[in-house]
Amino acid sequence: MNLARPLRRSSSAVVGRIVGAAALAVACLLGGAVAQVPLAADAASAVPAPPSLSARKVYEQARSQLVQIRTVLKGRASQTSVGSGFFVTREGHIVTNFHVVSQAALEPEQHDLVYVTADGREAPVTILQIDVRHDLALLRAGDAGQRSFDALAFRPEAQALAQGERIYSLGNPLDVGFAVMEGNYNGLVRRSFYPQIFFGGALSGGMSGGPALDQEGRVIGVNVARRVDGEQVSFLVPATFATALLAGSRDAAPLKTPAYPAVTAQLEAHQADLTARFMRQGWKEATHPRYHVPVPADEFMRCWGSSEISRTGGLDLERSDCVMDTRIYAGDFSTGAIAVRHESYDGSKLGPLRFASRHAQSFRNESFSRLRAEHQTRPQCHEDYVDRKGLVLRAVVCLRAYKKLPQLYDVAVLVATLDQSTSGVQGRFDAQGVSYANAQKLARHYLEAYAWTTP
Amino acid sequence: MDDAVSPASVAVLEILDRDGQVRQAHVVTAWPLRIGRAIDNDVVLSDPHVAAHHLSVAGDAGGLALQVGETYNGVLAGARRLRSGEQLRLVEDAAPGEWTVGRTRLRLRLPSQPLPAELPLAAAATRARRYGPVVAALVALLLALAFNTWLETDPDNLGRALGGMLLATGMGIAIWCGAWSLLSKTFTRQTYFGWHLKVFLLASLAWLVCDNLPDLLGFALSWPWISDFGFVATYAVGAAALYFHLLAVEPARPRLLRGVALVAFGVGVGLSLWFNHQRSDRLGAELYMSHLFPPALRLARPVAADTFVDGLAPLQAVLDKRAKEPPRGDDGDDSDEE
Repeated sequence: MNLARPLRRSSSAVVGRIVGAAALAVACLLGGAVAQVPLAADAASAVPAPPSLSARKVYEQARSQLVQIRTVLKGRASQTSVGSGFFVTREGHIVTNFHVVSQAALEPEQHDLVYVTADGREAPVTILQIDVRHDLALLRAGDAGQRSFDALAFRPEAQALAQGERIYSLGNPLDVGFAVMEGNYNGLVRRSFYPQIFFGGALSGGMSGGPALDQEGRVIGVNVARRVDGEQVSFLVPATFATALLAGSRDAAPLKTPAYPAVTAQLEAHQADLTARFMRQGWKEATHPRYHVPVPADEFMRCWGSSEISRTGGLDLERSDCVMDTRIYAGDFSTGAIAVRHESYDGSKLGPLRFASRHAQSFRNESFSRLRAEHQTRPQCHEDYVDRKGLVLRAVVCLRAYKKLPQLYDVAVLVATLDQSTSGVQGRFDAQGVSYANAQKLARHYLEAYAWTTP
Repeated sequence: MDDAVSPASVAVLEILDRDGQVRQAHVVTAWPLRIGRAIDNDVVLSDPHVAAHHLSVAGDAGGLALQVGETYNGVLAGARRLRSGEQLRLVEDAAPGEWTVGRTRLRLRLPSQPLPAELPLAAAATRARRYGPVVAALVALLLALAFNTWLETDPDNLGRALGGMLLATGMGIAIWCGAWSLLSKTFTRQTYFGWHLKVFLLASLAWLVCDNLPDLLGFALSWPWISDFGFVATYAVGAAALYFHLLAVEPARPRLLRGVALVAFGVGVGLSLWFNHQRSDRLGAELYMSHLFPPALRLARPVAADTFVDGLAPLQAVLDKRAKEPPRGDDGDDSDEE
């Protein structure tokens, strides 16, 4: 799943985060409360459009295939979260997002799932399979034996959409009622680890898992997330992952126990891919005049830089911050991302002693706790001076183990150069949810990227 | 004081305050000397914990002896408690005997006992000897604090920071030593301000050394444990300072005060270790050695990246064991950012 930070609570649908210099905020669309923007014509198309006839047609065709997915607290009859979904077979298979059903998938002893149609018909629903990497889930209606269902068709993969084509996103925003949102297809999101469609239209909390349709009413993607710092910058999971999930698991037995083994297995596969692709892409050249400082190529990462000149005659610094937009939603937290950052310091105005004090302050000012104690152990660290072809580094590696995802770890490598008395570089590498072998491999890969440019 | 001691005096009985100062002195002109609460005693004590005829001192062929009368509380002579009817023979050529009757401390001085030499008044010492060490310590402390301030402040802000440091240090010294002096005054009727100031200055200097030396050693030798447990040395300095401050509050009981300081040290270290363990599953205070000094001070040899990464292997077993334990405490925030 790309750029997707699912929303849990029905009161706060906005998830903000700052990455580098730019504010990047993504919200998934599950029972959220974000001010609803009327579906007026695009700002780009200056002509005020009348209510679109095709939107009405698409909605009327899809109305009976559309459902709301509710997670209900067992025995309490109150909903803990709501999302959307749609029928994909006449036998009652439903596609939605994993984050819409994650509570029921991970804590089935406390949660029930029901689907509600546009006519208000309500019935239980079971989970057949999940795909945490793409944030999808395949469900089956509990009343599947008793009736047949209208199903939405998928648009054939061979028929590619052109940028700017009208597409329609359906769902039940904020539990207000079923709705159709009109927008444009804008190709795939750049620098995403997994392919994701950039939908130029409004999505709101509660629409997660709903279908995005072309003008013929065929499914091209599944609503998953939006950026809260932009206008009408929304994201869809390409339909091909949903068809693959359906093909692979349409006859699977319903999931009865907590889905952690499946989540763990899929995260294992993700981290293997991630490690291999990260190591294959290598490092950028010319990142510092004196050192080779590891800055990753930006195939699936985005690097932001900034510089600060001290106004009080102190430390001048330059910063680089590389992060992935993609992270894997795994229930109560997200994981599966890599971040690489460094700061290079110039303390020539300070002299050696004062520079060392600033260097130490910055080295100390690092946190190695991310998740709550119920999800992760406390960090265990290893530290020493490391020799990189004559360049001496102080290196610290801290690891944390996941409590419910066995054999997966977060690894953080902290490095400070120690060869000059009034300048230096401090770098940090973070990888979430990797195997121990890959944690070691990545730590070595990162450390070995440090060297002098000219010895 | 009573009338001038006449040549006929055979002894002086002193009633002492709890800090050891003489509150009252009775000239004894003849034996036996009877002490108690009843009016017909030679020395009448108005302490309700004293019996009517608590004790008497009388001479015979063997010398002087203390005879305990009809009393419930008895007489405390050193560590020994004398009960009703017991007798204690007095040593007439050693230091004066001290007894506690009820809540009153008594000392009997005999002419045969050696007299300690006259104590010089503080004012009699030269100024240099009185103030020299204190001024030297004060200058050293101010220099050390000024260096710290210089180290931590950007060049353009140095003047203001130094002013602030001086003000804070002055206030700190005044409040700290003032509070101790008040305690001293309450218990001993003297402030001992000079003593408290000296203790504070020397302890602060020692504390600065104990706080920074482990960090420097940790960096130079790549010994993370030494800065990890550097707090033990600073606690020892704190406990020693507590002992010397208390000494000017309760000068008569140095052994008790040593005990108090040791207990405070033990409790402080114990609590810190426990707190560290609760917070991080480790006894040390630091997750990693984060003290960086100028590169020239590094003595430890660096290792190859491969060797370093191989050193991670043993952590896996620890992490896997911890992962199976039920969670304790809560230190993360489930945020996505590190």
